[in-house]
Amino acid sequence: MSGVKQRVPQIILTVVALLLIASAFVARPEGSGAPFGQRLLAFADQEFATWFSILAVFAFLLGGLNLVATHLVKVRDRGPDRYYSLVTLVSFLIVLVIGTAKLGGPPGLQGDVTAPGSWLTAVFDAVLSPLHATLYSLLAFYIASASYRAFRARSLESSLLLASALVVLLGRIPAGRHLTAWIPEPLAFLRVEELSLWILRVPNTAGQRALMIGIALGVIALAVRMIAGVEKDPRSGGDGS
Amino acid sequence: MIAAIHLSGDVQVWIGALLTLMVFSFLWRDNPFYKFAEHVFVGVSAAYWMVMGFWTTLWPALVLKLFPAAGRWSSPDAPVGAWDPVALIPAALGLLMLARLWPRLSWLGKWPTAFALGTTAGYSLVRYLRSDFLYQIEATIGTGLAPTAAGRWLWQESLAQLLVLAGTVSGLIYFVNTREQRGAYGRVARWGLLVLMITFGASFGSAVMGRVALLVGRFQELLGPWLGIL
Amino acid sequence: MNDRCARIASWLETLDRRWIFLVLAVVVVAALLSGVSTPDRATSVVQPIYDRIENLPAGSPILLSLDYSPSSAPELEPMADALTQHALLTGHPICYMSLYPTGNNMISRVEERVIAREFPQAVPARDWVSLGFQVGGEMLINSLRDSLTARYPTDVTGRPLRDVPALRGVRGLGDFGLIVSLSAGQPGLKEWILYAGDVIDVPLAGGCTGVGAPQFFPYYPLQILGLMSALKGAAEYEAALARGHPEFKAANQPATRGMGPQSAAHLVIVAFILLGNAGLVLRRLARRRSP
Repeated sequence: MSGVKQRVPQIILTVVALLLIASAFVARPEGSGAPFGQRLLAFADQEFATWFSILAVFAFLLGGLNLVATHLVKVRDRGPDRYYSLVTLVSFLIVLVIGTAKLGGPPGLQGDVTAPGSWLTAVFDAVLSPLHATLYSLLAFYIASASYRAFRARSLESSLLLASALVVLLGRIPAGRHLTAWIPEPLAFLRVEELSLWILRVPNTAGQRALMIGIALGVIALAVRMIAGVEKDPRSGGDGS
Repeated sequence: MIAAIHLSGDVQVWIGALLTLMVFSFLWRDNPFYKFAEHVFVGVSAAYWMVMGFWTTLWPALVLKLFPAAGRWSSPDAPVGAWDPVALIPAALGLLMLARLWPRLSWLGKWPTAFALGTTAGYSLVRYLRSDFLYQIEATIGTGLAPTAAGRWLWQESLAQLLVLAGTVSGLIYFVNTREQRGAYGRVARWGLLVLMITFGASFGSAVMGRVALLVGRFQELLGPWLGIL
Repeated sequence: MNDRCARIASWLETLDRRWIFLVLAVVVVAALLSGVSTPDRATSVVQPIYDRIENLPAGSPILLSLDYSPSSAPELEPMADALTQHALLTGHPICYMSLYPTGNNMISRVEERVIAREFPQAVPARDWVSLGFQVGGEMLINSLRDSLTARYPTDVTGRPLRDVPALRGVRGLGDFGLIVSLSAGQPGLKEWILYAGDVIDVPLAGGCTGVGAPQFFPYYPLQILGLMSALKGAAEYEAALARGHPEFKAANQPATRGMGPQSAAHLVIVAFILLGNAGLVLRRLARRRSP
């Protein structure tokens, strides 16, 4: 039984991956008379992407059920944050009901779930959008505080990082343009807005490209290891949990 | 300024503004108002994602393929397709994924996970190889290191291309951990580190711009639709 | 002198961060209330996007993928607005879609804020169409490569795609005159490059947040024809639009307006960085001079 548990997933992974890699090198069939292999690869390329998306939705469902289970346990065990867990559960259930039933919008189940006038859109506008935006906007305050505390020119490396950050910070705003507008035309490349664009297009591109090539090689190596079956899934245990 | 305030009469605007202030209260210190807002966000966003995933993807791509007649419930004008037996495969994989909820059957959840990993590996291997490896090399040296326009040598472009090439190669050398970085090799690696520091500085400057824009947006919402000052 | 340096350095090092929060908030609010804004000009990275839309054959459809959520809306919504205005001014039908679950609502906002208010004569399905969101990210892009109907049999209102005049002659992604992804992260512009732009050679441009901008410059200009980065990128596009289409000058320009408080906040942060380093210098001076 352990062979089925370990080998079947690996076979699925390897076959699926090899089909998709092969499909990238084979032209799409033009008519129904194409060879079976060509049609199989085209089918894999088209359908596997859709199946992946369907699985992603099931993953959302799994995540939602997990969320409910976790918070139900907190409420049942009367933990210190049980009232907050209740808040999460109630808000989750309310949105689930109004969204699944498409309440409030154009005729019932026939309407777009996010049509203007639908209750889900009202929840989005009143609750989700402001909360989502505000939670992320807190980072502006923390980035200002972190800049003040951590950005110190202690060495050549940190000084370069600091200088580059300051040029980009000033070069991307109108006030920065005014700061160096006095620099004459032959030396216009020294104006802060030109310098910031040069930093983004030259040294930043070089560094980012080095990172990208390194990451691409890592992705390729990981994919090859997974396909060959030498990459162990860290979540797998001997009992298949 | 107080005379210029025109409070909104829209309930949605008030709910949004109060939730915004609850989250901002965290800047003073952690407090029950912030925790309340945070937990509302978790619950609402989880359900929103599930609902959107179901109606936009699961319904047309799976349910309607297995039960075509159900299409008349959701879209009277849409064409009613034929029953697609192939859709049984992703349906089975999806149900296997839900088996993770039962410890005894959780090993079945590995099959759809393996399919997802195989799909990701198969698609990404070729695409990363092409876009993030081969095309990046082409962009660095393939366009030529001595660009010209109308017969004139563009020396600034040439210098920029050379710097990008030198920076990319030295950055890659810096990341190689299998060889000791000393001597000439070490000096090239150090040059790579300095290029990376400029890169990270530019990333930080850009990140600040991004985060500040979010803050400006929130204040615009508070001062505009809610208080009516803007 | 040493004591004074050390005292000032200590004060700077132990400054409560809530003072920094307060100063930042006050400065941003003051800048917003003052309404100061300075028109920008398009740089060489943004201008090609404008030029491409200007030079598209008449009636070429544009695919606009709003791959962001409310947390990135302040930076990317002005780009969506400006691109919508430009496309409708030049007579190119727009096809909206999204890789993010909140995409449907983000698309609706553009429709309400721009199309309904500034282009009341625009006809749905003829001048624009919304396909909405579907799960899958890069898998969705891959599915749409050869056929939109593989994943979108209808638009969000339930109209079959074959009955949408805006998509006449469009079978797959390669039939669009231009694809623009406004991207907050993953999935987004990178996935559009890897799974569409580099695979079928369709013209691709992007807009991104400030956080993501540096990682997309290596793709320019070989893999993307232009890039709008952060609020500044949006302001540059608005500037190009105002220069090329004078009637746009009277329209709402949220990015240009937002650059005033953006500037103020940047200056505050630069000042705090310099203040922090001043503390470092003072501390070193105090150490050097102490016996």
